[in-house]
Amino acid sequence: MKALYDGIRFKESNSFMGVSYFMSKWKKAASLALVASMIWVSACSKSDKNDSTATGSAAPSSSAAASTDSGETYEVVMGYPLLGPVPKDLGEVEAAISKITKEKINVTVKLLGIPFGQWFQQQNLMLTGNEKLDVMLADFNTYGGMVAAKQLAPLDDLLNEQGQGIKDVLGSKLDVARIDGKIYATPVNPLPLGGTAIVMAKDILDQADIDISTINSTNDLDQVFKSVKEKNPAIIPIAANPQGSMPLTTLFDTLGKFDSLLDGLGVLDSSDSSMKVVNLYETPEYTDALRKLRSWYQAGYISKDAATTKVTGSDQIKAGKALATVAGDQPGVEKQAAAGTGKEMVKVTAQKPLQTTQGVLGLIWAIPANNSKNQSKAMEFLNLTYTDKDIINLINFGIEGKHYTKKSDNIISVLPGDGYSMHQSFMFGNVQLTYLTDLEDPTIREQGKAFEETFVDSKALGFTPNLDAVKTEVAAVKNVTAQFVPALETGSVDPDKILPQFIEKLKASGIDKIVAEKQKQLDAWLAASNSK
Amino acid sequence: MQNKTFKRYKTYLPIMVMMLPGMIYLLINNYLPMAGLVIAFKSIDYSKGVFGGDWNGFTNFKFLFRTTDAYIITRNTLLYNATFIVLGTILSFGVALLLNEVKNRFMSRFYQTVILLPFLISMVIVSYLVFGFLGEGQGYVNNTLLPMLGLDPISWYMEPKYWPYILVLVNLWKTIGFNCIIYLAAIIGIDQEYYEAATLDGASKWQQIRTITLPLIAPIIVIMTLLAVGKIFYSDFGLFYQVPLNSGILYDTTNVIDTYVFRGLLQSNNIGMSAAAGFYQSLVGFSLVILTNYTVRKFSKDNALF
Repeated sequence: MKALYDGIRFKESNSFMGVSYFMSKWKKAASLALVASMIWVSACSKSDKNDSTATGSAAPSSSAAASTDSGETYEVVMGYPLLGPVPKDLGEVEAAISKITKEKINVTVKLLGIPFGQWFQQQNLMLTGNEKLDVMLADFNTYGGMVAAKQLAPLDDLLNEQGQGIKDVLGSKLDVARIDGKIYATPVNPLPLGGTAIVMAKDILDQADIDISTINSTNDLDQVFKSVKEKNPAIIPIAANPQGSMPLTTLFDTLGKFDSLLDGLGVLDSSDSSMKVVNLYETPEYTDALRKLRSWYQAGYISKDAATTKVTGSDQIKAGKALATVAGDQPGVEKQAAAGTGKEMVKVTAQKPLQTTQGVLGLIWAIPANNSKNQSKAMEFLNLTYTDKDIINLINFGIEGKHYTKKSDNIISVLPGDGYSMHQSFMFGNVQLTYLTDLEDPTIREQGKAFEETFVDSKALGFTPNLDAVKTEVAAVKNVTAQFVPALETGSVDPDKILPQFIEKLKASGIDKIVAEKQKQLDAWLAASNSK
Repeated sequence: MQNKTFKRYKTYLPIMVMMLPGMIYLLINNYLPMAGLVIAFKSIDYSKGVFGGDWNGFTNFKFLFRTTDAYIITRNTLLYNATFIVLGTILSFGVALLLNEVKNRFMSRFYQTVILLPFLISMVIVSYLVFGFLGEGQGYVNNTLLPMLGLDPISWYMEPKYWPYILVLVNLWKTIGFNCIIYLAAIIGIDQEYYEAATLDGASKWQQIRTITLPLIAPIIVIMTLLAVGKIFYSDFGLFYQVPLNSGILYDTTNVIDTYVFRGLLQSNNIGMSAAAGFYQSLVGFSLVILTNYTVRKFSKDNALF
């Protein structure tokens, strides 16, 4: 366009100078250029075709190439979101990991950490752009869609051949990841995580003379926020996270009973035995939560910029601008939050844990079907993240002596400095293998086991809907939720006015069809699992 | 004859060589991706590659017309661009006229530079400048301006109704500088004798502008407008995506085709549907260009593009 634009300005300025002969010849010149460009097109498209056939044939043969384990060292690219800044010493850590992996499975490793704010966009662009990516972090939100689009490689055979370690570690949890009988991703073996907690900066609470033992439910938060705001008007009591992670609605225990059935479009009330899929946004519980959030927003408890913020809640607390944020609940979550914010934190449980399909699949590792050029090597490396203590701890804590020192066999002390501080060990492979830091409670793993026993299983645990049949509706509905949810769930707009508009638009976009489809599949799944 | 033709082309060879980079750019950026249009009619299957999916007719277009989305994005794109064209032309022409009257060479250059500056700023930075004005925490308007006037703060990023004005303002602020330079160059090119003769006849400044400057600049204005109309279905992505900070609640007045396609791809992760929306954009844009050109031809054949 710009070239055309320049061309015409050129033509015009010439006529101004009185060089009129140029204009009459312009058309001929242009036609010649067109011919030249057409030759170019055909040449380019030819080479393009060659390229595509080359890559096209490479994809199916990759598994064959892998089995003949040639001397060539393969580079495994591992994609995941970074919750903090890009670590300075990432290259050194990569080299240290590669040294181990080269010896064990003849691969080198590239850690492709992408800042969280850009992660979802980048991830999509990488997948659609066929960039090299061998193992990647995914989550339950996108899992079903990615499988439907055949973006993920089925892992059953790979697991049998190269992933024995993963199978041993995860056991029956792997089966939750099955869609239409096949496994497409391996869940992180986490410290049990379920429900949500509100984590608060202790110094600010102390300043306002608040005893956290008085806080038992979401309703008690009003008083806390009020006193904090009175004492220190500049503090935002509850920091919202950027769109896409931990919305403030997760603070409400009343919403904790809903199994979101993968994407929250059509949910199941797990406390109810009728097994009826409903539209979450139409439930009275959701309306009440929005009203409460609105009142917080109006009282200044939520930042005025919450709906559009790009700063994570943890960073807002670190900057001393906020008191609290929401996090997934688990024993020791306050210690993790403390590591992220650099402040002493305390937690209060908000939503009680409900064991759902998406809970187990909260964070999963997958092998992108088209992006990985050597899927079995990718699986071998993935297997190591579940079995190799050295590798997992290199990823999590960096190099011993430089980034941390060992205090005992399993307990380390993180050295100060910003060379390599990740604080996101919950997302890599087998979390049980990670070292404990000296800031953590040494009994945390035992507490985790006890915590997991308090989980209530959702009645739809193991059910993963396949929304291919209502793809059009899902796309339209997601457009609508993207439009309304960030504003509504931060209290930025009046729910009494906007929520009805939202629901009306959802209906126009076909949410009822999605709910009905999920109901149909759930009924079929129930019938199948009962007959077993 | 053969020889003569060759000679003629030889004369223009340097000009054609100069054209080459532009043509190559066009080719790579605008022509090669056209093959991708077929994706709009396919059900994408990553295991079969980009062109390997099954044909599925108009299924991908369904989601676009299922809701009022198609109407809203079409309306927004057209109305915004039409406003930009009309106001932008009037204002840049006006500014060019004013700049032409500044006789102090240094000051004239100084004003030009100052007016051009916004054009050179990236939209991401512009979005934060706007945020600096409209943000609720520290924004200038809410914390200084409105209290001074005794008005309540406004949640700018939550109120769709203000955005048509904000976006038009930001766009004009950003683009006037560049367009006015083009007009200014044309105005400077007008022979001073016309003005001298007019002054001798006692014509006022206003009469001079109306009867000398305007008619002589008209072809430039037509060309610039035609070019802009050709792009009327393409919107400035940065302006509509970055400046409103991608705030969902504003989509009614900020969603244009380009942002819609982008979000569609990111949220639903569905290339087919995004391609369908892009196809729709190309189709309507193409018809508009043909239509405008046809209209211009009717009135003045010389000014038409083709």
